[in-house]
Amino acid sequence: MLRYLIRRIGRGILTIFVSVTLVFFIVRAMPSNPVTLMISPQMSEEAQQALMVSYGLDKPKSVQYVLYMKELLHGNLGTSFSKRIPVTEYLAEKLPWTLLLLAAVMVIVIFVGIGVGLFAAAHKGKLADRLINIVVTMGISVFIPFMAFLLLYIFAFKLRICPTGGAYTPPKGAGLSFYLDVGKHLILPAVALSITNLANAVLYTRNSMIDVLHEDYIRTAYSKGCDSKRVMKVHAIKNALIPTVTVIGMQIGIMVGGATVTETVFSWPGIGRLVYDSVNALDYPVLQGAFLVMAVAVVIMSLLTDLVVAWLDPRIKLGG
Amino acid sequence: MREEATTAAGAETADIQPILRVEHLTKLFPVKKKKLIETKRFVHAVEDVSFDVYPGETLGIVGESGSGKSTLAQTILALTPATSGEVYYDGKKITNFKVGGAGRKKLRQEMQMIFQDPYASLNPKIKVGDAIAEPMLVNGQAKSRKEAEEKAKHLLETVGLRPEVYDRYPHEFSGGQRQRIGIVRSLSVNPRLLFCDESVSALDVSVQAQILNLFNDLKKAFHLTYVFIGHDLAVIRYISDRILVMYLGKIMEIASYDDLFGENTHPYTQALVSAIPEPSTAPRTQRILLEGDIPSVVNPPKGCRFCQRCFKAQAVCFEQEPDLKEVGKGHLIRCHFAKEAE
Amino acid sequence: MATIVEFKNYSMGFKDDDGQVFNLLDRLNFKVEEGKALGVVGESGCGKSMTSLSLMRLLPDAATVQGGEIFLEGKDLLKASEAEMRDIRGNKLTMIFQEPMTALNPVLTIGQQIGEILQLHHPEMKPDEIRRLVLQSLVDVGIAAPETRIDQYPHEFSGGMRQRVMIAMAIINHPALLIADEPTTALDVTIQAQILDIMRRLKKASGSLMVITHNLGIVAEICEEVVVMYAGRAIERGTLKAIFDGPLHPYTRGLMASIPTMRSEKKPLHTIPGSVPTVYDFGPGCRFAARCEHCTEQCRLTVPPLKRVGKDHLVQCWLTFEGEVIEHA
Repeated sequence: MLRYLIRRIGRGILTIFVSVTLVFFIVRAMPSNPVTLMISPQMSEEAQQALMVSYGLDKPKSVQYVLYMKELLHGNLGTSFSKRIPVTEYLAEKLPWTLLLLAAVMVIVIFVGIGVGLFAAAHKGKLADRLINIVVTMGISVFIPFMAFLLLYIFAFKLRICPTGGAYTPPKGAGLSFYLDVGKHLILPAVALSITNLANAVLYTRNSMIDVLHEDYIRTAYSKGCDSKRVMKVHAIKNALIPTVTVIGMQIGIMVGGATVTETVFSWPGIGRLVYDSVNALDYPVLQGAFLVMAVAVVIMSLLTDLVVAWLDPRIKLGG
Repeated sequence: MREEATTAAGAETADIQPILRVEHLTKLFPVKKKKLIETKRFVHAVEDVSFDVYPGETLGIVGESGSGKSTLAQTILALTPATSGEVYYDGKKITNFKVGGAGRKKLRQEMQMIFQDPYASLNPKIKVGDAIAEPMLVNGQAKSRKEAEEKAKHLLETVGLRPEVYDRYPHEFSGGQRQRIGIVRSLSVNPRLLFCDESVSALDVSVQAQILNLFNDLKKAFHLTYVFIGHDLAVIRYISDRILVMYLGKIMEIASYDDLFGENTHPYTQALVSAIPEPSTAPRTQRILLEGDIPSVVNPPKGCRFCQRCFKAQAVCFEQEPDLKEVGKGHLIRCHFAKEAE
Repeated sequence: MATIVEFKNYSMGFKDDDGQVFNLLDRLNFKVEEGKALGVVGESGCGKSMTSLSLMRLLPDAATVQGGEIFLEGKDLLKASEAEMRDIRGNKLTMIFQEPMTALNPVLTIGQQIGEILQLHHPEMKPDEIRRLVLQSLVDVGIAAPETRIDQYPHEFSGGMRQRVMIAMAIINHPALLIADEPTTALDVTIQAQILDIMRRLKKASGSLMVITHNLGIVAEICEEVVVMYAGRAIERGTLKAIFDGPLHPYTRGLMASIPTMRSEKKPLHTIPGSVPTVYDFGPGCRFAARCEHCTEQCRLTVPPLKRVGKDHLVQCWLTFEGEVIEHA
């Protein structure tokens, strides 16, 4: 087990290293550079040069890279070009909001998705199952930004039951009323972000449950005198969840970065939105930091997924 | 015809050239490494197997899971490369079918394999007739499609199917009929040596008897030689002139039809014979019940392959592997305690 | 001698998509007596498995009961409620299936799966007590190191060992009848011999046994009574001796003659032409008619009567037998 963890973490670090390196050079391959964006006509050549030096952009890319990696090892992600604050601080401010959004999505996907999937499997072929299937197919094929705008239009502008954007009504308060306010702001982005994952979760749970219910060991369970409720609970669900968990886990890891569009549409102050803003500002250090966070998230989620699957499925030996 | 076959197979081995000779054939499959530092391990699927097949005989190969009987056939037919050892066909070396282009085509045509489920090897979208005619056209057994059709229809009748079968699809047939179609397809290219791998195992008892009889009839009509592979000793013994008993990749015994009944057989063969439930109310003779499971072929036992389950095992069996000893004319046993014939 | 299970004129069939019913099992009549082992023999498609699933009331959705009764210790199972049936399954009736590789749940330990049957039917039992009994059952079926094995998962067992686990599961609650559906078909010969040995041993200690198989050898090894099924009908039944030493139905005779055995001569095997018809191809008369060498017009058109030809021997055929008495027209 310990050996397995060490190996997995080692592989994770390698993944992160590769991704950091790629991001470093890709960011710098973008046309234009941050200084030209800020240049005002009054600025002298010397002043521009001074700015470049202060950003560390005057050195060759390879030198910049070595310096960056050195700082990274010390936990220093540099200073934001646009906000002039340490990137770590900046990310620390945004990360909780993304995590909150993700947690909400996970709750929806796991509880609603698996619940509905099991329900559909239990009523296979009946009207409820067929309706669920139609909705799921739509959920998988819908274009998320369109869905996000549609939700915004209906619930925020027309029905006015949800706020139009942001994470809370400023100024930032405290206590129960603040949490309720955040909750209210959370609904639309969480729903928009959940749709595809939810649809996938329902589909996977339903299909793997239906497969499992045809297995020989289910017949064995009935022959022992189990009722269908017990067959589902004791014999079927664990088996059916094994493929579902794998799929959901990977999706959620990817979602840390994939939330950019949703966060931007709903002005949610998380990492995704930060990426959008930083690209516009060509804020290299922040972009690098944000992608680092995403890489770490993917690695952690995939490890967690594997651990959960191994816990569900005794046939998988951790250590191989 | 039985008598002919036995003479061909048995006595004058010096005069008759074997159609197939297998010498020290070995097939190892590497085991996927689990740890970073680990000695390379192998599945000893087939190890140091040597035997001859004479024209006109039926050689039975019997064994349980892990015995390597199917791998042996696949290695001979170059469906999987041999690790070492040689295969001779008509006295010519054909190991891994490493012969000239035309020669290989001829080998593929003269040595045919009939599988357990011929349905799996019949394309469901291709009509039975086309599946039979195609190899005939490719191999030149028929000059035109019309000639191929005539020959195929004739063959279908030979195996007890109506010629109308020609225009139908594989899924329209029962297991027994599909096996007959599979046989027709193999026969269509004029083979000499047929490998039947569990060819009747999936069939119902009453149909199995039909196909076994069919195999015997065809052997006579087409001058065929069979290598008949299976797990059911009663079936293999019935169809075969000589029987090769395999266990964990090695030959344990080569015996004629009659020798198998005798007193002097390998302990594993005795256990196999004893394990077959006889459909009769006659009182059972002493039962031999083997302990334990069939061991893994990855780490075969050090001494005799069968030592862990053998009811006759002594200390020497765990230490030293016995050789395949000739105890009688054409009767070989791999056992320390095999009695040599006077 | 008490009767444990009795099929009385039991019929069932399959509904197709249009709701038309095709009869498979046709007026089955047979009994399993206490302490006896009954072998139900037939080729695939003969309705052997449907017979056992009918008894467990675990028929597939497309199946439909067409009439008759199935009694378990005098109680008609076809009239029992689902709750009553759950009480009977795993308690009075237990089952071993053909495929030991897939019949056990891969994510539950052996101990959990065997113990579940006690949990379900003896809710008052303490976990310690259940574990003790499970360990004992593993010893009974010859599994070495039960204390380790009990907490392992099915994938850590070989096919033969899994079938032992299935047997342990089936006997732990002392059922009135144990149904074994092709219990050794998926196993190697030497392993099959081990499993048959266990079943023979347990038979002495336990209730009745119903063995469903295509292998006449297995029946000869463990059964005292035999039912030969063909295309959904019990065409011949009686004691093992009666059936094996003096088979009367042309199908039974043909079947016996077509098996190559270690004793058989090296001459062409007897064969029955054709193959078992499917449920859609049954004719109005004897279902074996098309393959029978004695077939007459009458055989093709009218269902043969069930005749008693001896104290322990019944046969359903139009042929005339010595001393026959019509049992059912």
